[in-house]
Amino acid sequence: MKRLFAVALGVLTAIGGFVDIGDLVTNAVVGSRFGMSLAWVVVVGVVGICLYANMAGRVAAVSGRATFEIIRERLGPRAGLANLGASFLINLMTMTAEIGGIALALQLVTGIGPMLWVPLAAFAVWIVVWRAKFSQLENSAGLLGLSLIVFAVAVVLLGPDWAELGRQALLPAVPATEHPATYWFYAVALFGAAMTPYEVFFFSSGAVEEGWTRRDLGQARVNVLVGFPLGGLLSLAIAASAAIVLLPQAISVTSLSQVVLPVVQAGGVVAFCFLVVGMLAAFFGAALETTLSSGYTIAQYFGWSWGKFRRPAKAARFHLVMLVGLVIAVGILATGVDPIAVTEYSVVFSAVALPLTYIPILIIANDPDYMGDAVNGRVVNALALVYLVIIVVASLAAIPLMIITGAGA
Amino acid sequence: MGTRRIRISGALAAGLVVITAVVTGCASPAEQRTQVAEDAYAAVASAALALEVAPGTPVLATAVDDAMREVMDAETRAVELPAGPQRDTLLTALRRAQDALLLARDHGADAAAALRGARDALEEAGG
Repeated sequence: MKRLFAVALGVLTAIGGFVDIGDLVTNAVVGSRFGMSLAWVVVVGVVGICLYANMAGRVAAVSGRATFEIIRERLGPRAGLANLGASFLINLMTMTAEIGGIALALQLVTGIGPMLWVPLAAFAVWIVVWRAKFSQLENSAGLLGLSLIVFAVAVVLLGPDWAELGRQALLPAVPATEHPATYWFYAVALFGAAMTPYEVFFFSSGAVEEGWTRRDLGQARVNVLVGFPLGGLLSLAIAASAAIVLLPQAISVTSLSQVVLPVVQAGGVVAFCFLVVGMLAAFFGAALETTLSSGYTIAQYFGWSWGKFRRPAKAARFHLVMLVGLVIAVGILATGVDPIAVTEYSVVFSAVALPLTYIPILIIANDPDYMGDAVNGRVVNALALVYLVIIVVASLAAIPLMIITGAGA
Repeated sequence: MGTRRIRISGALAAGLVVITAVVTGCASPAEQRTQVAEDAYAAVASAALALEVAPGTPVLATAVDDAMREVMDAETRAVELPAGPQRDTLLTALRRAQDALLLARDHGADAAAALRGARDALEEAGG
């Protein structure tokens, strides 16, 4: 019974923790401009993150070490440093976007501008990272994030033309009002949002934090293979709600206040309350994960003591990196930059950096020195290679598409 | 080796800047006018929707603030367009949109009608 509860909890937190501000904004933008014609990208992205997150979790459980630690050892300090630089910068952008997202969500509830909320949000993240246990912060954010199911409820309440939504999803086409380059730009952005690198670093470091062994691999696999696809359905519901309400009125999403309108239209104040709880939990949870990931990557590369399982005094540099990261994020937001713009750029640059994250994981997962008899099987390797091609193509296409389309304008 | 790398990086960065300038500058004035009008239209439409589904709430206040920022940004871009009657029509529509948004922010009785009027004016101005 206890085992079943643990599995259920893991799956629920995986669903609730799947959506962050990158997923929320990108899916809403895509839904409001392209309808469901990019739904296939969410499916491709979810399969990819399942594949590689599962691999990273297996590496951590079998070797007892987090991905970044092994990357430096296996590929050498230079390759590791390139990986660290790109990952840390993308992670910092994502952290900035998440903290900005918390501030924007609080603005929707209070009407008070986001600049007041930014330092308070960052302070709250720091306190939780400093004081809370790893399992507490992971489970509470993930479970409260489940409130985002209100998007799926809203889609049903809005009474859409299901056949039309299905047609858009199954027979994707570039809308007449959009340029094909813009369509592909958002395909890459959506892929980057689904396969955000920090999720893998957090997942593998979390495995070490929770002391996974080979015996936990089954539960980890269920968490990923059930939780992430259900989280992907949430992403599709976000896009569908925008496609039903905003697209017919020519409202292309540029702010968080537009994202919530379909839910408020469908379910009024009650739905809005669920939505705010879900957004705050999702953004706060992702802010915690990115903050921890910034500490994980730097500390693991330099071989410092790290982890929430240690007292802060025993992992001082790990905690210092996280604090500095939060201060930088607040500094960036204090310039008045739009958090939604930061989000949009962060998902595109995530796509650019994808090979740096996923190629090393694939190499290590095939190395018997680390994995023993738990190296990748043929089927996993075949799928991983297909995804490697997709990842490299998305990475190479991201910047040219961003320039050609004026960042999707 | 290091100098060569810096040169290559510099050339790549310069190339990106040039391509960006060429791509963003190559839209015709008519296309730019349409884009400005479309962006402002979307902002006003979302404020109108917020007024309809969430009257008197912080959601409406935030949606109106966001829309106002978009419309003011659109006005800045419109001023850069070549002078002429079409630009004047667009600027008039944008100012009408700002007035309508102010009315919505102040919970004015005719805000919904004003937003509808501003939306129609922007549609016309965008061609």
